[in-house]
Amino acid sequence: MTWILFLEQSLNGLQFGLMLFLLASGLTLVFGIMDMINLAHGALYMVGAFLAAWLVNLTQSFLWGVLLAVPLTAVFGMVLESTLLRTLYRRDHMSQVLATFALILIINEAVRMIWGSDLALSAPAALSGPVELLPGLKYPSYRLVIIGVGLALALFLYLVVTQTRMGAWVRAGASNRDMAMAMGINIQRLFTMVFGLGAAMCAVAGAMLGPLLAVQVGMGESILILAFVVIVIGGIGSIWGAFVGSLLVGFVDTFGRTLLPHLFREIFPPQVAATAGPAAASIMVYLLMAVVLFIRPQGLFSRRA
Amino acid sequence: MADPVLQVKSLVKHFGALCATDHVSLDVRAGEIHALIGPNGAGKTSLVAQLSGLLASDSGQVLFQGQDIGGLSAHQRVRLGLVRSFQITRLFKSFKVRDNVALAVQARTGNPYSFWRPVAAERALHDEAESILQEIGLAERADELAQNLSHGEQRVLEVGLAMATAPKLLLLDEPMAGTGPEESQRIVDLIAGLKSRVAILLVEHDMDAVFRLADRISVLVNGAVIACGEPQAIRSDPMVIAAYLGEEHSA
Amino acid sequence: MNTSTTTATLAKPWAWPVLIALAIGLGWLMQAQGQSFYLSMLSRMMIYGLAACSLNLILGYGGLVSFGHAAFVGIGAYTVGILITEGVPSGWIGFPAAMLVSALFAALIGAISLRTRGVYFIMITLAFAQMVYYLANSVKAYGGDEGLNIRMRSDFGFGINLKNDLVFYYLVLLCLVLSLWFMHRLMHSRFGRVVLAQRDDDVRTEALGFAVYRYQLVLFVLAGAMGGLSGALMVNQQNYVNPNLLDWTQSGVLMVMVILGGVGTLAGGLWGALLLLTLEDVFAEYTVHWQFYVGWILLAVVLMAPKGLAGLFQRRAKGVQHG
Repeated sequence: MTWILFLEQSLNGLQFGLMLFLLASGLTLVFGIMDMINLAHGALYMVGAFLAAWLVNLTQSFLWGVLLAVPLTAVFGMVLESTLLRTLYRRDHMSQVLATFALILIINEAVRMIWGSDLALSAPAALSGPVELLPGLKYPSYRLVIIGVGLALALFLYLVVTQTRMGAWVRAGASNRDMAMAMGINIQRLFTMVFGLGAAMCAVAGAMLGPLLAVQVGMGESILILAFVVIVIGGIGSIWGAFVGSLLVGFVDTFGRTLLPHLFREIFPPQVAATAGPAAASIMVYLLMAVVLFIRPQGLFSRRA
Repeated sequence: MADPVLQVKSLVKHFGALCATDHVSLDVRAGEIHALIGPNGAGKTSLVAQLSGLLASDSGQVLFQGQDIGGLSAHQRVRLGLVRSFQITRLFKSFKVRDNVALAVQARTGNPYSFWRPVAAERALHDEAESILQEIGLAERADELAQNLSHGEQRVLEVGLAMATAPKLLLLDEPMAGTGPEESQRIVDLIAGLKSRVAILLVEHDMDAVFRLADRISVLVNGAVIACGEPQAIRSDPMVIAAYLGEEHSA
Repeated sequence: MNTSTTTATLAKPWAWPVLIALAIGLGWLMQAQGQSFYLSMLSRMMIYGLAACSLNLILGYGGLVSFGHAAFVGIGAYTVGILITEGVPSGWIGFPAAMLVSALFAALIGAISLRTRGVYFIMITLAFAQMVYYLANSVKAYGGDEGLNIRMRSDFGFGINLKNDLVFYYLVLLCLVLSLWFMHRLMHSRFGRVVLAQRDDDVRTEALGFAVYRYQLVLFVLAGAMGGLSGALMVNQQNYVNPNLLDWTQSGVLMVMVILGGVGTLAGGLWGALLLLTLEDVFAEYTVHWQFYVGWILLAVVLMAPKGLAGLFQRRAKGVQHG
């Protein structure tokens, strides 16, 4: 593995990790404050991607398509929360799992009925070329933009959570919901806003990853599992945990997929390496999760009371 | 004189900056009822949690029948004979009253992993459960679901469950919490009946019950034991009166 | 959640023998009428019913929301599929192997997952199941993401030909009845009592002297083994196994069956499977978007009848239903 390859893969890992963080942060707050499992979180990511693809086509502008898709998805999320999801907070986990699972079925099919099974979304022409970061290291400019956007949003979230009043409420609610409610924080309204914010971030991730991963029905489910792994590793309710977890998962997954097959080919005979390599690569993230849980069953940075 | 059944030696527990258990030492002798009293926030709940194995102490020792039980889990302590009841009722709400008690008996008799034989066919088990139900006075309610009992009846069952495990030491955590005078009396009689058969550490707020039942009283204030002795001595101890009894007996 | 301590689903003691007799007769009748399509459809429904019942064991009775149960079904299927592919078609080896391998995975996954609680437990079981899915996907030697075709069904000797739809139907029925009987005995035994107790209150159960973790783990393994059995039947039924069988959405489907049929009841998984698969087939006749309508029905059921349809019909002798 050359230096160039290592740096390139590091950037890929960072890019993927940051996008995962956009999903995981919203998810961890929902779990942390409201103790609710929301399987439909991935559906918001999908809806964001589809809206972006549709609007980009309509406006013929990547920027406008994304900028419009984000608030639309946020509104959709908030409507969903205030009508349906709110009734699930008091219910047991299994009911939440099943209700949000039903939501996935409904939303997936609804999207299919409106737009079909997939939509084309390509990166803006201006960003289709590579940028030479270092002599010999050419990296796609679009991916650099994703990294930039991801870092900016992470910083934004950090500022909101630590510097604003809403952020203080969120942190209070995340560590002890009943206490927060007893202190008079309007947890209903807070939660709708947090949900809207989470939906918006999902939309950004969906729109930005669309050109790379293909906008299709069901795209939410595969990334949702990884988001779950992230917050289990990071600790439910902890945004910092979600950040660290996302980067960890992003790097382990990226390096796992590129390094391990190489490594296996070096060590094992080709027959074995051909199957074992990709197999090991695909389960690295889950092994990571198992190890973390073995040491700290509540996650690395759990703040639960 | 034989070793006390329970010996607590300088137990310490911090929650961050808060010292919930401050070098607590006490012992419970065989057949005695040792009451633990103290104002709210004194650290009684944390102490009970540490003794029963649900919470790990920072330092100190707990000896049960001379054996250090520090590393043992909750269920292992129960197996040795250290049993607790809960301040907030924890019953098997969907089970009938008799099945609640039968489960406690099941824990200490017979094959723990029996897969095939129906439990309902075990005569000995159910006979023993029946006699315990007679003893605690719930025999007539035996076929009622636990969740349908009145609060007072549930508190009685709560104590009954702990009794049914045939303990050597009973840790009763505010057994009379939330009960009216009639039911309190019932529980007091129950505990009095256990005396000399079982060592009891009784955590309670109800002062009448405490002075009626206790052989010795320890007073816990801000995580530390400030006094320990016979009821008359405690009653007249100026420190205790100042810190605690004064509030209780203001009427 | 349903809170029956006894596990009586159909109150009359003659109900089950009658049902079984009807099922046997129905199968024979369909074969005689040349309706083998419906026969294999029924077999498929019963296999899913068995899978859902095995989930109900850990979920309904154990109160543990395991979201990765499809993995055990898939592992059972792949075990039999791989054995047949490698020249070991004997059902007497394949079926027990399927149950054993599933039990092994369940032991590993359960050992780690059961150390966690609540929301963590759900997500961890989900993640581990996905891990098994990716494993199945990446093993190209056995089909990878295209799945594995098997050229023959399991061979049980004695002239038993599983290619015959009726014979296969009877095998499925036998496995289903035996499994339900085992579940029934299990939940009425000492072990079952502890399982039901820890569902109500695991702290209290521990405080009576039971090592709750061990009971949960054993239950998890038993449920996994039963799931493996359904997988062994499934690969025979379809002559094919595909990693999608292990996907977490399949776990979701099993959970849907459990809730439709009755959480924590003996045959709830079976009724739920019959209902859901029938609904799917009916809707699929009219629209390609049948998932949309099934989704709304499921949502309605969850919001309005949390104990599942069986809970609506079940009358308790005394006592109030839990919410």
